Amino acid sequence: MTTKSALLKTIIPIIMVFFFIRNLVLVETHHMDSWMGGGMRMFAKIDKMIYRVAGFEVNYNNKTYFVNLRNIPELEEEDVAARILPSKNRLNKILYKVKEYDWCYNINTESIQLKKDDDTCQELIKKDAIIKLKVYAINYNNQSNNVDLKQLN
Amino acid sequence: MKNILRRQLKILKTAKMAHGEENILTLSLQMLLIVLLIFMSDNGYLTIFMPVAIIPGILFKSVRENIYFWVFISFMSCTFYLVRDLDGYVPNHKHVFAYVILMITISLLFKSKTNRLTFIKKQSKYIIGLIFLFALIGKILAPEFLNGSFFQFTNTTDPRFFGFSSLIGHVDFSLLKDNEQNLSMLLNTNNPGENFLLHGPDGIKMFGIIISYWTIFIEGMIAISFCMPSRFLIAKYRNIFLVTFILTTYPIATVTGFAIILTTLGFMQSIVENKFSWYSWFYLMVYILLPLNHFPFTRLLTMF
Repeated sequence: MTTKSALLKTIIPIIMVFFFIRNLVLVETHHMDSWMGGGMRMFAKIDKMIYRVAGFEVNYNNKTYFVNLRNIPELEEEDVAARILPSKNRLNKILYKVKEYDWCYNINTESIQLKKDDDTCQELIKKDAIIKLKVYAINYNNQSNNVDLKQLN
Repeated sequence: MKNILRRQLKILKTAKMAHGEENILTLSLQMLLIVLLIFMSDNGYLTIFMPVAIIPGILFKSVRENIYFWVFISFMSCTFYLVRDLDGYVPNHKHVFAYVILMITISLLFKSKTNRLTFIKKQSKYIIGLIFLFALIGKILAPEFLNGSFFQFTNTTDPRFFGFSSLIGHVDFSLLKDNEQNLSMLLNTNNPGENFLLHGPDGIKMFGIIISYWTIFIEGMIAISFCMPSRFLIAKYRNIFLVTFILTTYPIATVTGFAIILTTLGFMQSIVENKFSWYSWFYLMVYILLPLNHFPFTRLLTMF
């Protein structure tokens, strides 16, 4: 067998092994969703990006509020990216992007929301009040059948 | 005279075989291109450019066997499915699409006409083997899979499995719907401290463990038989394991994207001496019938 034919025969298996090893490493080091990244590890772990919650915390009036990115259509891409690979670097970039928007406190719903022109929500949130981006995974206890969220980062 | 006749016969036989090989290669490429046409629409670029490229590829042989055509498809699939795969939602079968496209491109670039099908056949076998090997390792590394709680959770929260769960575990369908709704509320919450109680997992506890170990067994057998060289005895039974997996998995788990690329690869590796084997017909039938996957058979069964 020549070098060329050996290379042609093994190139695709080598690429596949590369993506599998990358998956193993990123899952352990950066909490990557094990179902993603070409690792072929689907239907093994309950935790997957579809069952993850990404959002940011805001300190306002001596209270901490959580804003779920799933409810902010303008940040859909960032939400998906944070849930797939919640690495420190990626979350910092997303937090920076979050701070580029104007956020306000809605007295009626007692929640933080994106400021829009036609909004009744007037109490603006200062940028430094947005403190941290957090990603949670589903946590299922098979003894009590309880389902809750567990912080990943 | 006798020698000339013999030589002519040999040429005729080779030509017939080559013709068979060409037909099978054409069918394999068309099957793959139809899959790509249906499923490669993940973003604006793919939605616009892929049909424009793929439809002529399905219709015309000169396009289908043109190397520049496959280099373009490779570029698109590698960019969105291998290079930028962690930027957005790229499920595993999209990686398999990229591997298969690369395989075809390599065969057209570097292999002679008579060696292409053999190369595609062997590579398809290894791709299937590695997919199942990685899947098997993933399952062994997941404690919730080994103790059955993965299936307990999934079968009672994912609507794709509700028909089956209510049939096997006698779980009320409305309770399963409640689980789905509670999970959706938890995922959309602004209070990460919330929780809910899952209905029905105890009814399928034993079933969860059985299905977990069955999956490990069948995926293990596929991984071994497809990764082993053909001279080993177990490799000869590989199609039996894959057919068993398809028959026991896809009527329940409606994962059409993965099922259809697996079936296409199954078809490509099942060709024997440039002819359809029984397995080739099976994979072809599954490929054609896969849209039925969306039909709620198990839910219908619960009505009787």
